Amino acid sequence: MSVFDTMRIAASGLTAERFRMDTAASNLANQRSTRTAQGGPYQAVAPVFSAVSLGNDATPGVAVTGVAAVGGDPIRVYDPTHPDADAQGFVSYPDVDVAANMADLMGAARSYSMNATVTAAAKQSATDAIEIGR
Amino acid sequence: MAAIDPLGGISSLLRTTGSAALGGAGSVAGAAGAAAPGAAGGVSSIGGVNGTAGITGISGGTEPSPAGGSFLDSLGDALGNLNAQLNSADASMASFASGGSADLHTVMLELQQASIGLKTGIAVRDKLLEAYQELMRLQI
Repeated sequence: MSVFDTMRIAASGLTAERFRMDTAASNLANQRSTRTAQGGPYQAVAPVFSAVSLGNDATPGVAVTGVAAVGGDPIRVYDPTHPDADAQGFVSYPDVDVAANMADLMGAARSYSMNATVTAAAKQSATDAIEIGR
Repeated sequence: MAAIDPLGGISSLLRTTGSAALGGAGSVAGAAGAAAPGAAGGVSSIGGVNGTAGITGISGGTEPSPAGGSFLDSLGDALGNLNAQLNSADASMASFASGGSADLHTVMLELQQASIGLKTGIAVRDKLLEAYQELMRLQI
């Protein structure tokens, strides 16, 4: 058990929340993306987190395992002038839930602050411990 | 980038201080060893000078004992770790500044850890100097 274990665990949380903000930002930015490298419209994603041991199995940190596709089938909008319109004149837009992503973004920002508070508390305890010796 | 060794000086200072304290204690013991046979009287008191062998404590300071269990050794290791931590914080700061992929909070936490480590080192040094000065004030 190291002095900096608390900080390391909180740091893994900070990284995970940053990633969650990234996915929300990506979903919101690609709300109208009709093309992707894989073909077809953008698919909204959500992060998948898992608890991983950072040296002590009893107090695991968090790690980003990957992303999972969320949202339903693309939304078909009739717009024959759009370059990505199909034979019937429909364009497929990604099914991005803007409100849910905004809420997720706020949650991620708050969780980030929370983890930052944990690191501040860990830092304060370490400083207090040094003060004992003075 | 050349590795900076800001703690090398402190480390050697601590070793010197520690060895001086040890040597001082050794010479006190040596003096006592020299005096006692002298009190017993006779030419054999010259043999009491062998008591100065206690001063070999000084060499124990310049090159740590291979046994590796001494306080100074572990202190030296701790300072080495601290130095590595400071260098790592320095490297991640440089990597971040030059547009590396490091997260801002990772850099800040490394800096913070290095700062706490440095504070600990300074607190230990203060304690050691205090103990040394206490020894120097001893009336013989």
